[in-house]
Amino acid sequence: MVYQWLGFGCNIVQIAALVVICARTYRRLDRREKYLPTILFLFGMVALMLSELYWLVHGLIRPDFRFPYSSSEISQDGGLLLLAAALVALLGRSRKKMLAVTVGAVCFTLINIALWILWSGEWFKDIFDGIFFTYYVVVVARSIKRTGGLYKREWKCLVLVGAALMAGETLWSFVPEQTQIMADVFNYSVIIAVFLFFLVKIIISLRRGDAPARSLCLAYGGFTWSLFSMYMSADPYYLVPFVGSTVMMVLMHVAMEREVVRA
Amino acid sequence: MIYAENILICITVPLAVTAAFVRGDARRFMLSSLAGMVLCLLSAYITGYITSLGSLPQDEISIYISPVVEEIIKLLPLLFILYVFRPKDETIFLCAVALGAGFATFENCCYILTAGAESLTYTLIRGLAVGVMHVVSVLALAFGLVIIRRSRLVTLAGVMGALSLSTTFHALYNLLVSGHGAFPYIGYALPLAAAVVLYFSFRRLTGEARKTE
Repeated sequence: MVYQWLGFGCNIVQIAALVVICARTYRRLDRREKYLPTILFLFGMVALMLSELYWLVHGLIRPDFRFPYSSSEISQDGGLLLLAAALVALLGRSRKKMLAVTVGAVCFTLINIALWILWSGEWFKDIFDGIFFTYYVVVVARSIKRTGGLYKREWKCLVLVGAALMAGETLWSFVPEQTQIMADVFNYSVIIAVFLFFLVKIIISLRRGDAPARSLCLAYGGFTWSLFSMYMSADPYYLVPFVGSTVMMVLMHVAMEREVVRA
Repeated sequence: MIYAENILICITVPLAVTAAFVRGDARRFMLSSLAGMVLCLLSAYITGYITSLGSLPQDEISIYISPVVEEIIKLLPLLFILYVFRPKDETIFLCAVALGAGFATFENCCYILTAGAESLTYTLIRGLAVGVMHVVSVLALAFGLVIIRRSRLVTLAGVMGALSLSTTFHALYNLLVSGHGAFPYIGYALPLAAAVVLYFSFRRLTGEARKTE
């Protein structure tokens, strides 16, 4: 019960944060430049807000019933597509192939989707969600690469850590319950470490006054990681990455605002 | 039991005849609202078919299935207009509101004939809440489409995003009015509040303010 109300509280905080983000982004629409990315970003945030609002209302009105693919998921997928569209509109389409980044992002997402299906059994929802999510992750990963958001050695570390996490999560799914706690400790440590890594990178990038597109792409990366973390977390721990995703949304907005103001 | 097809014929024939005698935007408005009415019947058929396949109660159908079906159905003619006729932004908005109004009018007619029109409160709710909700959701779709066509880079992602916005708005309304206590009242107020916000932010959202600077 306490967890449920804590969840509602976090939901309300995120909705409030999204309302403020939407209002502030709306104010930037009168800028001549960057109109298209700004409005796509605004629509993306509105979609995420509607998704959270629907989830909150659904939890209050029908707490015992869950439809396999409800409007909350539709809106979240739509929101991710719109956010990806905002990034594409901002940076333009790249002619570079960036094969390694694309393949890496696709593989990581596909393994995650397989694990979601294994855990939840909702194969239709997970595959459908996964299509949009894969597109979003590829766009974000390629954008980080294009803007030079991460150094080569950081990419290498991220690949290694990602592979270790996938191994840990897969192991967790097949070992007996007593052993799961060890896998849990490892997995959550990795999840939190990568989240903190992104958080520090974004703050440093914003404070240093890097090119705003770079900060924005890093914030997108942090948000993406918080989404992965949410889907990988069981109920009592789920709220931690959920709060993290709210923080990342705020940082995305700050970076976007800088991008628009600079133009 | 009502005969929705007969009601549709009864309402649309005078409008269709009127459309033959008017020109320009008036004709576009007439034809779009006629299309909205036909689409309402079509979406009722599809929802009915899906209902017959599963064993979900009516409440859950209206919360989980109808918004998705109805918004996809409303998106299709807008996409057709957008890509076949390539009209101006104002024309898209005109067609969109007419489509939404036609859809809502036919739905309201069917509900009123089923449930009766004795209660003024119920009639007002049907008009101000459900009626406005269809117009607002289709306007959100039109906003999305108008913005998306300015960039060739983000077409599919943008269309899906706009569709998700209108679907969730519609589903949220249906969910709220299915609840108890204060929830239905919040639901009834939601479309009007959204309509007011859209009305005052119209120019800025479509980029008109930016163009005229």
